[in-house]
Amino acid sequence: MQNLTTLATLLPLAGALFAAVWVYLFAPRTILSYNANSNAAQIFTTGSVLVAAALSWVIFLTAPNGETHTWFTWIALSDWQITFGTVTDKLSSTMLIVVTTVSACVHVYSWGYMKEDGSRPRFFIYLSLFTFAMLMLVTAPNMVQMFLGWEGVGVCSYLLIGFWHHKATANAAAMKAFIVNRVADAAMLIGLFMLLQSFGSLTYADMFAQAPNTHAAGPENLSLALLLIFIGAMGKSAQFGLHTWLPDAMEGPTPVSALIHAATMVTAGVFLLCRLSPLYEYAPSVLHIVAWVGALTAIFAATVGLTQKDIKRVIAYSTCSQLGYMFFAIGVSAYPAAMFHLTTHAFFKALLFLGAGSVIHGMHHEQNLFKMGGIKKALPITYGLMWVGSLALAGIPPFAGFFSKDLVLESAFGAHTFQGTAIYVVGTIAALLTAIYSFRVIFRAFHGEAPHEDGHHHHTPHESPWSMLAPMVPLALGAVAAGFLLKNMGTLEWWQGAIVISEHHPALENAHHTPFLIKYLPLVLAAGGIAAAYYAFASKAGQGAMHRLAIRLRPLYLISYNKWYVDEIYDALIVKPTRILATAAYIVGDKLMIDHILVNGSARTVGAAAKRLRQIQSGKLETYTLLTILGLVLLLAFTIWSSL
Amino acid sequence: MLTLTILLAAILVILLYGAYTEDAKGTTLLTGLAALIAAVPLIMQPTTGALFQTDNGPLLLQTPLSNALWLITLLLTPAVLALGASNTKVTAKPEFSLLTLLSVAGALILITSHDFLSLYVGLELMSFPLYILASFQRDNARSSEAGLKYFILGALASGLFLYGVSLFYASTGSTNFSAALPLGTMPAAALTFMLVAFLFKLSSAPAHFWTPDVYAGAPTPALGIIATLPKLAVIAVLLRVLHLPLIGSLSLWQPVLLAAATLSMVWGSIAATTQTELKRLLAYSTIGNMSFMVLGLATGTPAAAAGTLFYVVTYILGTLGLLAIFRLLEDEQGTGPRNADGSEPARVTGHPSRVRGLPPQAESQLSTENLKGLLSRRPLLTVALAINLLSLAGIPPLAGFMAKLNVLMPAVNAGHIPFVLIALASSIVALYYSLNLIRHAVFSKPEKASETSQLPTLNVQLSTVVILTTVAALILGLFPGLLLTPLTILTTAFF
Repeated sequence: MQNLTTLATLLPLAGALFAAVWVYLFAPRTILSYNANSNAAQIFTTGSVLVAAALSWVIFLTAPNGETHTWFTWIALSDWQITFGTVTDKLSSTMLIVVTTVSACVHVYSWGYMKEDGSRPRFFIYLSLFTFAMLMLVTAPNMVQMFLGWEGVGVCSYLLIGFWHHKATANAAAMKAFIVNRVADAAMLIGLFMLLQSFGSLTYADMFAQAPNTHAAGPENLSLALLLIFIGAMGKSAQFGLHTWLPDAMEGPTPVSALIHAATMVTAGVFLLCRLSPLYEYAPSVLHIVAWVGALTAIFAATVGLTQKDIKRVIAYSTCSQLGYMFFAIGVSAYPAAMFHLTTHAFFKALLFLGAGSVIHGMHHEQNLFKMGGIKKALPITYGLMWVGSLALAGIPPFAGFFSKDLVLESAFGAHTFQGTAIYVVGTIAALLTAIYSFRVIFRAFHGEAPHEDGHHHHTPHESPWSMLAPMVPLALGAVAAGFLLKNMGTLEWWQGAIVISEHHPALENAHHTPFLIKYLPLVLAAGGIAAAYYAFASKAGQGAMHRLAIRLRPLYLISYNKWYVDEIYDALIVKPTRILATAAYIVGDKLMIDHILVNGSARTVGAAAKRLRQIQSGKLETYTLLTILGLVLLLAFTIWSSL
Repeated sequence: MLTLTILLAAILVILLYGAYTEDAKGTTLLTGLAALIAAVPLIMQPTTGALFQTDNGPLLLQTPLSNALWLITLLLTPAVLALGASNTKVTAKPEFSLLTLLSVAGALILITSHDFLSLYVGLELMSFPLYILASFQRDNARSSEAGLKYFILGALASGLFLYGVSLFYASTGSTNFSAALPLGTMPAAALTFMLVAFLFKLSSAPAHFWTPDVYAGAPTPALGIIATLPKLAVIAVLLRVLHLPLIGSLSLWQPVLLAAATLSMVWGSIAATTQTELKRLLAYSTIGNMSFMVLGLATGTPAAAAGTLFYVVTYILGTLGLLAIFRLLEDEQGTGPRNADGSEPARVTGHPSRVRGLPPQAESQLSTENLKGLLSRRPLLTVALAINLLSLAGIPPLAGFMAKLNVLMPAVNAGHIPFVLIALASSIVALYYSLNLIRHAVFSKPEKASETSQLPTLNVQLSTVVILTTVAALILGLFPGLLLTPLTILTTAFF
């Protein structure tokens, strides 16, 4: 079992390395065409991930029990050591299947989607490398290795968002993602150091064993560290405040959005908090913050998603919103509900992204919803698959999202606190909005008529090739059935100790005794949302209704359309002052102090010293002899004087 | 004993074979084979115990630690020979292999010596071939200059050493390591004289001056041995000397070694910054790296000793890798044995002032110019160059980082924090020139476009050396325990 986990983790790395060696070292010396070699790279990477996915399912189905397997000890200091290895428990095996399954589907899908791209091998190598980093993140038995994976997915995300590096916007988006995550990671690093200081170890098992003592020794210290870790998680998981990079990241190729920005990397924060549940249970104040941040993100992103014009941005905000659901579930200590929603969400959100990719592909790289319309005849299969994904996202039974989202909302209500109830209300409203915006996409893009343009787009839309449609099928099956089949994931017992909930936090227990009305209110609202979306965007009667509404509620519309002006506020509050400060610091600090005095000053000192030393190193034997003897005499003076 | 016998027999065979056939390839193969065969008994049947017992104690003493160091020395010998064989114009001669093997034999004697007299025999047997190897290219003024300077300064060091030994004898009535040096002014002088001689061999201040001149002048293949195996042997024997006869004077040798280490660190790192000649740069890199090992010796704990020996192995690997890369560059540029324009190298004119130092640009030497555009010409070689350089500079996750960590951590634990801070500062300065070389290789374009698009194929032996050292730098960086754990066990047993 342990070896299987190791194998599953390392296979994508092997695939990426092998493909890189093949394409960049070996292939140029063969007579095969570049295309043939690219295909070979594609087969290596996809094959390795497919095998990893198969292994992951074996691991998942054979009920892992939390064994730790150590690969090797890298650094052993007297009081702590850095080891590498894997841990195979319910949590990591669940993440394993999520990551490898979506990754495998995305790999296959990219065969079709990236077919005409000139640097296909690079794309596949990055994808596999990303998969490896993500697997290392989830299977790590300690936080050092976890952080290595954490940064690894960050780097790969940067590389993949900026994959089309000839596009200035893609470069800017890649940098934005990297820098925003850097802010979060700085907090995370401080948190890690604080944990190391309190526990003397960053191995999960050690930390969890010592948690009661550490908490007793300094609850504030532990809470602060966990808060900092949460800030790190906010960055990766695009929570309100640190979410600004995610919509921009849609500049990357769509398969990347499906893999990284829907199913895997952005859920790393959720995973990490669940992994650390034995610690977070000792920090209720931090959990309160987590809950509020999650709720705020859920409603914020849902409102923004209503008005975006870019099909991928709508789905990106939807992801943001759903991640908010997961976080507020964590905030009320319903970790299993969060992980359950993470799993189902991975399937239907990846499906939606791949479906959007299929639409974009079929529309010849058109992403603007307002330039689509009436394409359901041309793309019937994509249309059907998008319906499945959207129904799951909206939470309509028996689709996967119904089970997990309901559990999340019921847990919030089940907390029986003011906060929990408030979050339930917020989450339920967000569920209504979710239904509206997700079906807005379907009705806008697939129904109605194609907009009459000035003949700019005279390509007719076409259905995507099978290589793109086929990998969406397993995801669609997951979107249909995962909720029902994995229903037990929502209980604490299923996790076999990988998740710990203190008995003072009964939200998840109470979720089973939710009043009928509370339980089905989200469903009713979601159904109503779909109907409203149909009326507004697809029916003849509702034509223009949204337009009139937008004019009447113009301020609200603008707030939503401009994403609550977060980017602008950041620009005014952080970016511009930072620029001014940076310019000042550049002139005074950098140019004068550092460059002139410190760097160039020390460089000049070193340079001058080097010149002197060079003069001594004249090549003259007598000088050398003299200096050696001088050194000897000085040392003699010292030794003899101290022996006197 | 069997190892030494095999080695000495091989030396006789190669002497005869080489004298009659002038077959460079054959002698190189024979020599490499001899070194490896000599290593077999160390693996199959390692013996320990005294050899050549005298009234005062044994002349040689085999311990598990010395056996391990013998093994390392013998296993590295073929790599050294590969460097020599690669230069068909200068060093691919039977004498080169023979001298190398003689020097290795001296190093082995040095490692096991348990008496100052056997130590001296080993030291000279190891050093004399090196003097000859440094001046191996007899028709080249710089090579002759290097050999002569090395020899004269080496003679000075030998003199200091012998004077120290005589004072030791006067203090204890014995030259064996089983004698303990008492306290007093004469023993203090004995210790100081000996230490300065050892520091000379280690290229450490205050006796490091020979290093840049010898490195710059000696043929690159000769550096393969000058810069590597003697350092290991001298460190090994110094470990014995410090902890057997001189252990009572720890309060004396510790500050002396700390001062020497500090001075070399600063000197090695600063003087290197303005160098553009690659082999001179390597000399300063040696001075800087050796200072870390001297610091490790000065710390004087089992952990520090293990760290020091680990350091010397990674240093040897990194240096061999760089030298092999330099050799490849020389082949590519046509420098080294001949001048860049293909003309005859300058001859020694017989004017005595030539010996005092030549103008730096008198002959074509490898410089940072040769690195320009290396990335576009030879991407893999550039990667290897970067890995070897960064390992020597101490960047994780490479072997050199682990070496520095395992020398500095014991020093911190022993309370030598100011020295550790100086070491860290100077390694930052040292990083500058390593990165500078990489910058030249990666970002600079050659001033004139290369005339030929067809690159010559790389020499196989040299490429093998480069690959091995590069892989070793990665493996020992990721799994330092492979080497460090046995070394720690051995040094702990020694203490």
